[in-house]
Amino acid sequence: MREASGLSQGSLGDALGVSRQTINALETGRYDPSLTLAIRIARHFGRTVEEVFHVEEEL
Amino acid sequence: MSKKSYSRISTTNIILLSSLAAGAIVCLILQNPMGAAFLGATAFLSLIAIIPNLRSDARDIGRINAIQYRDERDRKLARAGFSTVGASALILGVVLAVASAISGIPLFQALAFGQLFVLAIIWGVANGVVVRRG
Repeated sequence: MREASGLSQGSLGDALGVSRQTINALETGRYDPSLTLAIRIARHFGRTVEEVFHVEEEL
Repeated sequence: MSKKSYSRISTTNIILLSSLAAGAIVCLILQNPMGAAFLGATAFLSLIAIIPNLRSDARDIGRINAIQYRDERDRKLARAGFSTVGASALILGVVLAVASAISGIPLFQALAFGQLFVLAIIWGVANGVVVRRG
């Protein structure tokens, strides 16, 4: 989604007020964002949170 | 290519640097040049360590070590690190208190037990705050 928008990790981080490393950690699944950040990311791309983040349901 | 920007020095670092600088000034007034030099050098070296981590492209480990958090991930990682520091401080505090009791040196005992008491109070208050915040 980020690459499709032509954004680097750093520029997306700047736009969202987070570090490049945080964007990298989100993309590689090493960090789960707060609800606030998840909503900010979704709004940035004009999507819903569910469209941006996928949760594997554990039964 | 993102533009480099700089964040301001964190409140924690301002307090730490101010304390060191104030201590150096007090040492000078009390004519203790060694103490003033030690505290002044510590403040200067701390500032040198902080400045590179004010940059927006600083590494995350650098920002966390320098207490210059940029975002929620930095703060979360720092909390995890500091929880280890807190547990270690409690253990070392008990070891120090035991050592002071064995030594029988009144000033050592007062400092060691005072530190342990303050740590225990902070521990209790911190636990109360995080439980209330849920």
